[in-house]
Amino acid sequence: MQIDINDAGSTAIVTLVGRLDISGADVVALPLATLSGSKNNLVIDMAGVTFVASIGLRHLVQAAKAVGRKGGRLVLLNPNTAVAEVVTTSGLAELLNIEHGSAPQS
Amino acid sequence: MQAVAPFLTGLGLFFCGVHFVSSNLVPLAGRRFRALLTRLGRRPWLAALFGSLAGVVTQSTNAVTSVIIGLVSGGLVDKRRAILIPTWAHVGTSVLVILVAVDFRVAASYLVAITGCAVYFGFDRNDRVRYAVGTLLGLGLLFLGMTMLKSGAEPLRDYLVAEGLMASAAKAPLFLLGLGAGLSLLCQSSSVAGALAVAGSSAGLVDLSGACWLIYGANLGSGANYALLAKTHRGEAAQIALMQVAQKLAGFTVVLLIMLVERVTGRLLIESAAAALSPSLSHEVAWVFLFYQLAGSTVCTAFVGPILTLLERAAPPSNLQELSKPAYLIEDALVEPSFAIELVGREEQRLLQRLPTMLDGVRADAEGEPIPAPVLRTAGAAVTRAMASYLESINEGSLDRADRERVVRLQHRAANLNAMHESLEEFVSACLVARQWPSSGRVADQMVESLHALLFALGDAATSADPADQELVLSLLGHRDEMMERIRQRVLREDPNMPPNPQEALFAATMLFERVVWLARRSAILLTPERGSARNSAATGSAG
Repeated sequence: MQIDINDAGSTAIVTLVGRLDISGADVVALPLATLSGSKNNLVIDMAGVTFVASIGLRHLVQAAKAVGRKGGRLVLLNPNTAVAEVVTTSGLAELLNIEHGSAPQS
Repeated sequence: MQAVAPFLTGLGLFFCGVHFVSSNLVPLAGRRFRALLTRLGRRPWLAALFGSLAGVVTQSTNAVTSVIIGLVSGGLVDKRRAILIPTWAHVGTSVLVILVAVDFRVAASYLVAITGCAVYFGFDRNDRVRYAVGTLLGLGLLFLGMTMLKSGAEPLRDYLVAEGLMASAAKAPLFLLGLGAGLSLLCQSSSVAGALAVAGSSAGLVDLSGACWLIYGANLGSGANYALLAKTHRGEAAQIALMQVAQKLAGFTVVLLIMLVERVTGRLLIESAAAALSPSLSHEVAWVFLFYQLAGSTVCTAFVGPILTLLERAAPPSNLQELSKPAYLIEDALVEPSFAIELVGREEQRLLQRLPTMLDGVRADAEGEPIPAPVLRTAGAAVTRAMASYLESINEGSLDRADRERVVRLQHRAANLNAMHESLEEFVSACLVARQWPSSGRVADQMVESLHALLFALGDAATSADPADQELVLSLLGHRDEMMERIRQRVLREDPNMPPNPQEALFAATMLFERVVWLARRSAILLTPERGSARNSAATGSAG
């Protein structure tokens, strides 16, 4: 899992590439926790994520809850069909806000 | 063939009787009986008394051992409290030898007659009465079986006597030792061989010394029986059976030590003591038999700690047995109902947190060696059964209204949890078949990851004091019927060539996914009583 962070401004854009499995979740856990604590909104660019496991979902949920407590939103941008289906089947589509398009300019 | 028929019939009746006794005694063992057993077992001398009485009443250490194994395996009694009871039952069964011959046919006939009438005339409609009737029927069959076993072994005994082999054998101690062991193995009872020694001595076939060797052999043979029984069990059940082997070996060790002293001193200690207790040869033999049991049981009681340590190494519990043991359901806590209810809640939380691991067998992302879903299902059923039994015990006490409501909710939650285990096992099986085809396999993998995340959220909500966590999990556990139908239709539309097996498995997996989510929602609602009524009546809607 590779992670790229653009955190200028109140919205952080996190670009993930790879598998969000156990080892991938280890890579993103701390950055997501830090950003969700310091930023109002989070955009996670999921275009490069090929697989999301349960642990990956849990980290995303934790981050969404953290920004939600401050009135912000977490957005999953451009997940592929398989990833979107896992999120939807888990009932997380409302919490994790799936959107398609280009990343917002920070 | 005809000659062994009664013996085989007796064996069959004996096994039926033991099964009936243990399978009906376990549910019948309500709080009072279990409390009595645990109180009695807490002190060794009380275990000795209870075990001896159990041996006197049943005249079968096999039956007492099987019952204790059933109670311990069912999680109803702690092994450490109960393990000495079958050990002292051997002393109780000495009554048979002391009485020389006891005709159980009358007792067995009455038991079978009474229970037969009770069943025929419908007196056993009530659960407790039905279990009691089942237990008594089992005892009747057990006694009948034992009687037929003993009479079935008579042709062999008669042959030995007729051929004069018994007379020759009296002069060969090792032969008598082997003969006693063989008879004990054949008759599944050392007291039968002991009774034979008494009969033989009173008929003048063997002297006291020869009868003693028969008795020692009979007990070693009984030890071999228990060693064979231990092989058919694992963990605590095997340990209980092996403790009986220890009892027999301990008795033999004491006898050997005394023989050593006899050699050195030139005095016959055992025979002198037996002669002093009774002028009759047959009763002297019976006293020797009793002495053997007392010696073995006393040594085992005195060294129960070290012996148990050895047994636990020799027969460690299986993974299933470890997983099936409740962690929080402490008997002593039943005196304080509110605390006991809390403990059940903690047990439930522990199970909920273990629930996601049922999916590890079908997850590529699982850490370590996954425990098979059927094992977790069986273990989960055992723990929820123990929870239900513990809650029944709590309910038998006097509770205030709030506690009674908590008990009722926990009873429903325990049943719900058991149903979740069942459905998850079936879900895993369906996913394994669905994976045989790429398109259905992809859907199965997605459902597995989703369900794993949902179960984790449920487990977190059960332990979290934050109402937001509970609100979140309820929002995640909406109905999935429309979503699953859309998924099924889409996959079949996109892949019309899917073979029947993965197609059926996909259908089953999606139905089971719906069911597990529904059950999880029930658990989440029951976890939050003050929100339960509001959520229940509100529209739950589809989650996707």
